[in-house]
Amino acid sequence: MTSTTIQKSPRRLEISAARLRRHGPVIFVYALVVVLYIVACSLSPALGQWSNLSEILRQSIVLGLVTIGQVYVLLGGGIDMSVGMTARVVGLGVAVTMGSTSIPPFLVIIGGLVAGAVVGLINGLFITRIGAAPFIVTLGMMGVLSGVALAITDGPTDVVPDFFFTIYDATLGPLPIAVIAMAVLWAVAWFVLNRTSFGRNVYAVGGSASVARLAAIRVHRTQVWTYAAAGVLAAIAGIFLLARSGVGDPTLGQGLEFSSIVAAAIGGVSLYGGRGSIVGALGAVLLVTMSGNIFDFLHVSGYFQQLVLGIIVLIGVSVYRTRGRQ
Amino acid sequence: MSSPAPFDEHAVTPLLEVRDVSKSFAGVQALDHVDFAVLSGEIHALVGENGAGKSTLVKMFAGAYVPDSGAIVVDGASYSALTPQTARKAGIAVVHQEFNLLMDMTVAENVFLGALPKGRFGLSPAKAVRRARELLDRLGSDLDPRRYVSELSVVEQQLVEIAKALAADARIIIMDEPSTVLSPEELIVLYGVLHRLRQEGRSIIYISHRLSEVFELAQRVTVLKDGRFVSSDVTSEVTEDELIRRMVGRPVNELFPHRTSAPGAPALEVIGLEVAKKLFDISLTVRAGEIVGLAGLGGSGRTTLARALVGLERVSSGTITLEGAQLPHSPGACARAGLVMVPEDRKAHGIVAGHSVTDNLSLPSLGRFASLSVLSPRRQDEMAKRLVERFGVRPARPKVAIENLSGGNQQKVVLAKWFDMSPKVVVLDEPTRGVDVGAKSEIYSIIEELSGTGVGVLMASSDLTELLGTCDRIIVLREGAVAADLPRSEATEESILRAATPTRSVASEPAPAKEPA
Repeated sequence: MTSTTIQKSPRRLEISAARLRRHGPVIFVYALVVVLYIVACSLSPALGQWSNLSEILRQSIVLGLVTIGQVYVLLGGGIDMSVGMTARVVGLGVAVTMGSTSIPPFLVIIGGLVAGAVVGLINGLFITRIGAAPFIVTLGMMGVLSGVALAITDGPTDVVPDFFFTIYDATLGPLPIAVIAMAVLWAVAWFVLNRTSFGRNVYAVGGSASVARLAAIRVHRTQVWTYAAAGVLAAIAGIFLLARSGVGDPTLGQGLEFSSIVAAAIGGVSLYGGRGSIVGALGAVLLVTMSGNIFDFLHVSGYFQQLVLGIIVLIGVSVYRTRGRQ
Repeated sequence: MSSPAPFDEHAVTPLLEVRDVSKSFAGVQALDHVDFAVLSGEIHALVGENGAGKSTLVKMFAGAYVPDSGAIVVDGASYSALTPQTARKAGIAVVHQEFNLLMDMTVAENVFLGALPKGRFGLSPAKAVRRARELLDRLGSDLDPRRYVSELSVVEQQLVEIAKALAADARIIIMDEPSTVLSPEELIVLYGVLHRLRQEGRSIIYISHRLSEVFELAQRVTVLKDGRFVSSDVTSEVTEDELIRRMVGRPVNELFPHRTSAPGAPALEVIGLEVAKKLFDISLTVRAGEIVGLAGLGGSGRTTLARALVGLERVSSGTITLEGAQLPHSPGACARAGLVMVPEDRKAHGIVAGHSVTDNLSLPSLGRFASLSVLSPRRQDEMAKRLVERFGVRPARPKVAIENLSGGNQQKVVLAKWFDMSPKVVVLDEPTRGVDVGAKSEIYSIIEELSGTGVGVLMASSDLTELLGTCDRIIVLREGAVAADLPRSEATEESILRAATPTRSVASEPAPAKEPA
């Protein structure tokens, strides 16, 4: 027995070194978050205060919701370009329905979520049944939905009922309830990916569809569910955006498809599928939101923020790529 | 005598049986009314030359191919075709030559893929690791289930595949030519594992074209030839010579053109070529009109070398010259200078799908069909017609889209397009992979014809029969270095394998106790 334990200790070291390499992107992202926090504190003590941090967390919710969905789709070997427009259509649809009908708001919200799921299902079915490229299918869907959004309204809608604001404003102790809900959602997203068959199947399907198929995993069904999840999460994001602004803004959800893919990529999720983690994506969402917060403080224009985000992606992708090759 | 299983009189029922199964692809009869039966608790060798139908049969068992006719009977239940799901349920597991493993997942996850063990809260990775360790223990391996598959050696990956079969409680485990990817030491490890499995009452179908293995391992042996069933025998009741006669049925060299070569001056010269971590101090020469083979186990650097020659790998040192002139470091420039590489993966790098045979043929030499940059379709058509006829591409219609051709005919087009460029040296990587026997023989003729016009050929292949049949000289690579340079007279399957096999012990020993201290 002693000989085996002696043999095993160097191997365990070896494994942790391999783990470290594998989780490089995640560690990198969280290190950047810490660096950014230090930078923020040095810029202004106000930025480092709890009130600002909880504001950052609340600002991260929309991107977080959409990114979770995007991560599922990406891990399963797809990509979803329609999430931003799904959020917009659901947000505007909910706003207009509540303003012009007497349907109970609760049912309207449920309807919005169902609409998101339907969009995702259509994406998934087109991609798996017809075998079309995910990028093109969801890009087409994005076009269709932006048309639908214009048909719903081309100007700001009526103000939503008062209770709607509480979705955004309500707090529990020091934290906004929305942030707590979001934390729970991240935890659930992690649990589903790592502790359920569906989650592991998503990884397997994205890693190699043929291997997954031979293991009797229902490849298409798994992929369709990832798109449905992305659709529902985008719908929640749309409703949350509506709660934040109070009126249905026709530019709602602009660019979310881009920033969610960016966050996933920075967080180490492979755009080829099968590789990455929800933890890394969370770090990337915090990173992106924090940098936006700092830019806002410095009065940097939104265009410039987009530009910096793009550069971060290019740097991040090239760093991970060279690591992957070794 | 419709049922050939010799154990029938002992009333042993077959665990797995195919009855009168046929399968054809694009007019090529891959299986022709084949009968085959495996009894429980036996290691059953399935032998035959390349293209005899072994792989087709295996894919049928795995549920990947649907038979045109006939039945597959598993434990008394008859199926007209298996799907991956029914095959798995029926207890059939296939360990393919190309492993079906997820590189970015751990050993444990791969072993239980699709059926991960559950704990109190969802899946339990710890339980998966523990159970994977138990399975690996049963196989006599101390491989750590928490390691990622991408870090494993070939034999370790194979163990994972077998553990996967055990996890599914497979009663029939099919090993598809394991000897082509494993060294002799690793094979001994594998034999030990297979004997353990047999003692547990499982059946193993062991596919090989190496007869020494058959006699070492199997209780029974079935011979296939040209897609037809030839015989099933108890191993101790047949001789090796008899099996060879049944497998080959004709002299082996009939498949290959008769060579009368007179190599000329050195055409391609490589001195001290190094690619970081992959190739070490490679020096070799290919003469004009000479066919040089490049042998080696999987991962020995054959493909890397082929790619490095045309500048597709970053070369850290060494010189590559073609007829004395330094070669440029890009495939396009190399082709213009007269060195052409035909890559292994035809679909990815060799053909342009969606385009006609004519377009594909004229691609490397478009400039010649153009006046003032405007292409002349007439001249292209003439060239295509000429090449298609000369190389026997079927169907002989240059307008047809290339992906509608069989693998062999696609490869002929790929070779033909370079032929018309009159290159000085051609590097071929696995020129007959995925090609049927008939087309193989024609491809050998094309290669032969190329060398006859003074072109030097460097041919990397994992098929030793092919190298021995076509090459004037065989260079053996081992772990990225040249291990031997064997003239035709000295090259045999044994001498090549001996040179190709690493001398140090393998990464995953069966048990620590067996290790020398």
